[in-house]
Amino acid sequence: MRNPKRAAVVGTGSTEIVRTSDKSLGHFAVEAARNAIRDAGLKTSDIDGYVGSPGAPNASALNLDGLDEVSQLFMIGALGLEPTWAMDVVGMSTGMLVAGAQALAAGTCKYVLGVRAHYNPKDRKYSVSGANLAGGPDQFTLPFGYGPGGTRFALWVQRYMHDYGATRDELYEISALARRHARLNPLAIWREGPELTRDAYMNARWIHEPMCLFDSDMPATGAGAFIMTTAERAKDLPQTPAYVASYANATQPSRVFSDIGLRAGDIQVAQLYDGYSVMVWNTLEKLGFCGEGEGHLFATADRLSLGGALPMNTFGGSIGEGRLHGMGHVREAVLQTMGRAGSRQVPDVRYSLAQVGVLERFWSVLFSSEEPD
Amino acid sequence: METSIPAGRPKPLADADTAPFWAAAQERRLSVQLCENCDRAIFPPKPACPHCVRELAWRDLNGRGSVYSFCISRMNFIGGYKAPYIVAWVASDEHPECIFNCNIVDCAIEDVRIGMPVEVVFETRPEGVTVPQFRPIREGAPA
Ligand SMILES: [Zn+2]
Repeated sequence: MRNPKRAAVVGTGSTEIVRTSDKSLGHFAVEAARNAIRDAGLKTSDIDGYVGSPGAPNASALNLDGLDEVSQLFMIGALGLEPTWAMDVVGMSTGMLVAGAQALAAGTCKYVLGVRAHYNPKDRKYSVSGANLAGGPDQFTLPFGYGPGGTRFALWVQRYMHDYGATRDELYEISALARRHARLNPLAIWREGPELTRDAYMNARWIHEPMCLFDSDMPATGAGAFIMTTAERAKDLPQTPAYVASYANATQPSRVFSDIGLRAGDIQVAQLYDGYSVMVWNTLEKLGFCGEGEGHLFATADRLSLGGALPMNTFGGSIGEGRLHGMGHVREAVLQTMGRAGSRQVPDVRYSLAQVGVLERFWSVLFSSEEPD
Repeated sequence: METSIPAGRPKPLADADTAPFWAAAQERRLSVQLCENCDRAIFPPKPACPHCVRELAWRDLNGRGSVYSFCISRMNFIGGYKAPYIVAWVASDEHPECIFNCNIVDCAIEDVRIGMPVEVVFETRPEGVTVPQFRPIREGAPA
């Protein structure tokens, strides 16, 4: 018997994605929310659930609500919501979907608005730390010149290259693919190109060698939003629902497939978090698309391009679209499931994956275009 | 308002769980938590053993290890650091599950390699703190 309280995404909304803006982040968040509510065919007064993930991740963040972060309290006030359920979660945008699905399953609300916004400061360098003191986990990183700009991922990939013979030639493919797909995405920062040539990549400046400038996404200002409701209510709304078929976190990552009797190879399209290009190799292995140490061999342009066996980051990923901390990945996974991805649409999508987060902490959500049993 | 990079390196702010590590470094000892039940060393410090949730004791390591991985940081993000410099993960010889974030000092950036044997060296900073770093063990040098 089908579960009438199964969650489905029934609308998405975005703002423009820009390098920096004079507008506060709250302004972007409200615009994304309004667009998502309209896309779902609802009114703001219908929204009785809210989920967000406010954290500004950058070393120079001021962490001011409405300026460079957007909390549930800010959004409740800004939209005049009276939610029976509202929560801010750690775990970025896929974690928000999981929390929203749980709230709907529990019957604590009917229509969940999810908003995640990301701010690139106009007047400060994004990753520069002004810290004189380093407490908590930072006491073992910042005092050693370790931290912003992906030190951890440069160390990780150096060891990966050593153990498995992976190369920068292979890494180039991830960033080049992102930039190619971005040209099909009207929201993407790199929508007008140019393509990333092998020469430009190989000659780019280092950030933390062996990672160069083009292995990183680009800090951006923008917001994304989604609307979730139950499968039962989704039938009365205009969009084809993107049903939440399963989800799993990084402690048992392949359960996102095995819980519903699938294998990784059974899905049609994947959006994998690419704040740094190197993350994709690790994620492909963790999710079981290939064996340990084989991610760099699996991730070929042929396989992952539109038209390939597993089109990946069809919207350009964070590297091509700009850093929205996974809201782009969620939006694209939903649009691919609904059949609304335009020139980027993968044919006959039954299962579409969004994975957001890194290494030992991420959530994956698998969407289905057909209502699961 | 431009965030300026402070002149000095960030100073570790110890808490109750981490204070024994920094106090040991001040005395030029490299000390980590040990679970006597699991015979595993734990670093960075944790409230309890992540394997069996028992209380942890502290013990000193011999300070020798090898470079598990490294990168060359070529941008200036953090106070007191001028690029290029080496950031490394060093695995303890005695307890390879202990990985230390550090700089490899007394080593040209071209010379650092994965697997390179290193030993702890204590760096006392003008900010009034001593931190463990690692340097290559050179052949013929006293162990
Ligand atoms: Zn234990």
